[in-house]
Amino acid sequence: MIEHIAQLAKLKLSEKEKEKFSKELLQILDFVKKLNEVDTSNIEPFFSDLKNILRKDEIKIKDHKSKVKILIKQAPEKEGNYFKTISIL
Amino acid sequence: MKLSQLTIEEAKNGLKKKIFSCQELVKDCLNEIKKRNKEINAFITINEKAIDEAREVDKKISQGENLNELTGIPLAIKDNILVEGLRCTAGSKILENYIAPYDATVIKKLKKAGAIFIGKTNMDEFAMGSSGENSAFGLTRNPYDLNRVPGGSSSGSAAAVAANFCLGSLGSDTGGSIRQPSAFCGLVGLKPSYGAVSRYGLIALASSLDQIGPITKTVKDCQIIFEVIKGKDEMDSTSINIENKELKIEIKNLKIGIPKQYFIKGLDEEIKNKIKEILKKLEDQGAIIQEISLAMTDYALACYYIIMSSEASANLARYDGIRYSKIKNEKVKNVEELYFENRTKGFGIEVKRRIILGTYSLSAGYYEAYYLKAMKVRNLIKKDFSEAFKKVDLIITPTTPTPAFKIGEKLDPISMYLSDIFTAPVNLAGLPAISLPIGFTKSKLPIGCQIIGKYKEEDKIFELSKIIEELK
Repeated sequence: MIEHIAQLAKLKLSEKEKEKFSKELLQILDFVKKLNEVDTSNIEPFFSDLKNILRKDEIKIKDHKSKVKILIKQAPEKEGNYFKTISIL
Repeated sequence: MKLSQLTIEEAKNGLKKKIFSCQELVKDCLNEIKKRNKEINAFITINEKAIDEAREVDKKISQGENLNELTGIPLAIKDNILVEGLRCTAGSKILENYIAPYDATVIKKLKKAGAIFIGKTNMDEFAMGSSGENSAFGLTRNPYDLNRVPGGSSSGSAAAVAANFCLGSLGSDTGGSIRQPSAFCGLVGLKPSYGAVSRYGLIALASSLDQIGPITKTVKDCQIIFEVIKGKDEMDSTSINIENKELKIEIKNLKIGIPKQYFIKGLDEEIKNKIKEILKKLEDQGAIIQEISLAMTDYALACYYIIMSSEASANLARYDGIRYSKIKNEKVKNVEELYFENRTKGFGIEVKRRIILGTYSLSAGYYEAYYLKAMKVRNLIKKDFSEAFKKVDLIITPTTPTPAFKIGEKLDPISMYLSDIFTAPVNLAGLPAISLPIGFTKSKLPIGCQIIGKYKEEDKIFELSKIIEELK
């Protein structure tokens, strides 16, 4: 199971880590198991009272071109004003 | 007395009356950092320009310009809040070289108010931890006892104020990360109502729980910073406005609730007695102390860990290494491998542990049993509080079950998670709460007391806090 979860989370685990995390995950799941004692048959899940607030997608920063440069500069690989990565197809 | 020992209120006064200059104040803080930060390790980045900024402030003061709410006050900022041009790591190796391209809304507001940022503080990686031991930049020590933890995850923000490296700081609180380190370091720390402070520019841990708030030496200082940073922001759709109600409270007949589930086995005797002492004094002044029941308390921590880790696993999915990391494309075969490589090398052990738990609770076949179940229990926890607040004005509890523990003492995750037992329920309910220093244990470790208020009633919390502060 732990391998499947790690795969989903895009994490490589060593054999030692697999063993450690499996054990700890079981401990934590055992700890949270107590939630089953609570009767929630007529209870709605929590949701906040907040509503979606939309705004126009406008560039408001005056010097946005220099910001782009700062961001691109931090990338391990770039080409012009773009991040560069390996082709997906 | 050194200037770095002043409260914000005192320093404001001193600057205004020109008793000392801003440069002297900032220099005093920098001197303290030079002397003691090596052992305390409260900072990840020191702002080299702080002294230049102080010079500018002095120029303005000498020209007779009006002082704003925080003009010339040296503050420290948790390293998960973006300050333009400064490195922002969130305590993680995966963001080791990330330079913030813009200011978080809270930073914009603090700058407008005139604050000076002395540095970015150390923290548990991605705010995951209760001890300050989970930072990729080394652990932080408690200024009161260097063998003990300062609490976490805002470990450096609390340690920096307690060590007089700055006059106040900002932290973030998802399950207690402002209040618990404030309690461990003898400080005042506020977790505002959900939405009270904009989170634009805060590196997210769990978005339905996170809030930014101040850590200071006094209640008044805490209020000064909160007033500056609060308010609705169009860049954070969850933010709200909190009107200044100037809620003056009368201690006579003020109803204070004491949840019986918080005074449990495992609560340190000295903490328990200190809280009782405070309650007795409040009662003598006419307050009505009333036992209340928060029946779901026992389930809050389990509920919290499912929700927090689920949201964290989703929020941290964005760290793929394409935009800021050092691993070059030719080192890997395909994009998938690039993700694995970056995430495996970039995240520390507690982050991986919570991503795994969160990914598990959200995965097909388990979602209903874990995440959905937790969200239902969360509703019951919220109801518990709203029922209680029909009977009382404010709730008082201990902030933590124990005083600051020893470095390396809590090795298994569950015993560490239990440090948040009194603070996490408040985040689940979205309520405001403060931690206040109320004295010391026999071995001279600070003790904190928590006051929880109704949604949007920070003002009332501040008022009672000032009364308790006066008791000492």
